[in-house]
Amino acid sequence: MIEVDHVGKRYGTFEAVRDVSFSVGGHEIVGLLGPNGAGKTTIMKILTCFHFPSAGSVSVNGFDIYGDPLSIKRSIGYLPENAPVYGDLTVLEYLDFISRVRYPGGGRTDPAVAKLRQERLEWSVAECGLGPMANRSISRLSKGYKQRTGLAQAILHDPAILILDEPTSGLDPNQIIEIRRLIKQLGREKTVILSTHILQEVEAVCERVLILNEGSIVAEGTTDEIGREMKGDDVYVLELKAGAAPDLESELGGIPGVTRVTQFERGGDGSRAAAHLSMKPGAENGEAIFDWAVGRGYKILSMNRERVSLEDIFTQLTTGEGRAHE
Amino acid sequence: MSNVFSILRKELRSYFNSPIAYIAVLFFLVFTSVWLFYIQHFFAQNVADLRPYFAIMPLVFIILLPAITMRIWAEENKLGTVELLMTLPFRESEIVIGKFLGAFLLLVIMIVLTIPVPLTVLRTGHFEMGQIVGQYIGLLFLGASGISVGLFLSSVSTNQITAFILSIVVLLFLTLVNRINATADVSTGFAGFVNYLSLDYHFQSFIKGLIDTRDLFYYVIVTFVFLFMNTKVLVFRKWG
Repeated sequence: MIEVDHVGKRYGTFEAVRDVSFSVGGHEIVGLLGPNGAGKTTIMKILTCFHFPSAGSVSVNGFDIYGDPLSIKRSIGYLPENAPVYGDLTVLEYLDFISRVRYPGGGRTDPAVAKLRQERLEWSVAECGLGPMANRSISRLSKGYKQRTGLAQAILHDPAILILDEPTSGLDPNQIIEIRRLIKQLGREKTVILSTHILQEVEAVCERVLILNEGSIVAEGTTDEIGREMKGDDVYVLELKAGAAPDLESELGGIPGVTRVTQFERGGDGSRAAAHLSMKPGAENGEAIFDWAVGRGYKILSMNRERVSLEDIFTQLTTGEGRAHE
Repeated sequence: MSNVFSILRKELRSYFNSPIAYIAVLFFLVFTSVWLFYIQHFFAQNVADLRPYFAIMPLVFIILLPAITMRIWAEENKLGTVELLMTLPFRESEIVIGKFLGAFLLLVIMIVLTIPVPLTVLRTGHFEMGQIVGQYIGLLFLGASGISVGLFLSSVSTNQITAFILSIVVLLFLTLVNRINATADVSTGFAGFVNYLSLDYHFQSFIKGLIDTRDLFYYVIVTFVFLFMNTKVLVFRKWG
């Protein structure tokens, strides 16, 4: 669906994106993750034909960005960063403008187009919860509603590809959940690329992640794949009935494969003892802990395996620690 | 064509949703009427000729047209909506033409609103209808070229005020450049060249009621050149 091949982009002397290659298939939600200034927005500007790359080639939906930008623009719905909208129009006027661009023609000669246009407009207004604001001037809307107006604009023509630059910025927690639900739902039948610097968003919505730093891709894959590739340790959180095991750190250290133990208090009344265990990755780790507890006659109150969080990986990759790993 | 109309519609809505259009219309009508009736003492002159009314138009346009065109691109650049516009399935030329027609239509509305002025004085003397028609045609062509200049300068600005002042300076120059012939001692060749550049010089024959194709051609060329440059600005922007 989207092929990006050795793409670079310079703005003057600033190299915003360098040698980035990736491809995105159909019906997939891909997250571009990275700190501010990592090149996420630049990549989106190139995909949407707003800017040409300085190097490399890009094709979207089978069309080349130089050869047929109009066809690309037709198949894309784009929400630019900060959701720019025309302040002096009302929500309906604005979406009417977009619908006329997306579904040209209509009028007296072609009532079918006019009807379709009206249906799509109403659908996007309903989907983004804009009903109560429909006749308000956009300049008087809150940040959240402006964002939703921008999103309504992007999905109005039911595009095959959706490109969303920080779609949930400025929204309150309830709205974020709503919009993420909408994006996931849209992702079932569309290709969605969204950028964010919020890690939970990627974990909640995306099937695949590209982690960017300083204009290059530093990791790519599903969140699980990236975790495995980073060879992070398995982390368990263990909670035992207290009194039984006074010195967890040294006792747990005896289990094969354990690399680090950090004991901490749970409950505050001394009734429970708990610890974080880092272990070398292995399928029998959980069993080993269980056997250890049974062997000593300890009572396990809870035991959780924590996935290597994307957050850890992200910090590693984007603060220089990950460099050695490349 | 449908795309041009979409842009045109949006532009007109933007104009009439904000006070700028109303202020510009009001300024234009009040100023030109005050000029004719109070400053030029039209009735006291006792001449059945609207020349003084139309002769001031190029000067009024120096302020009026930048006021109309300043926001067209500068605002899009500032708010970032230009990104939206450029990623919708438009050709660059369609956007430029749509925006141009939006501003031009606003000007046409203003010019139509001046028609009561000749209508009210028509019965007071023997006016030549042909002359008035010629004057109005000249006004439309003069306005079209001024708008395309302002539109182009707005496209290279990120700020309305910059666009406004830049357009005033350029229009002031283009309108009054032929006046140096009157003050400085220049060769006839140079004088001819300077005259040819001037927006005001080409308007003079229209004021007399003459429709000269050379003058029409000049205004069409100016309009086309600036709209073309505007399109090129959009294309160059893509290379960031």
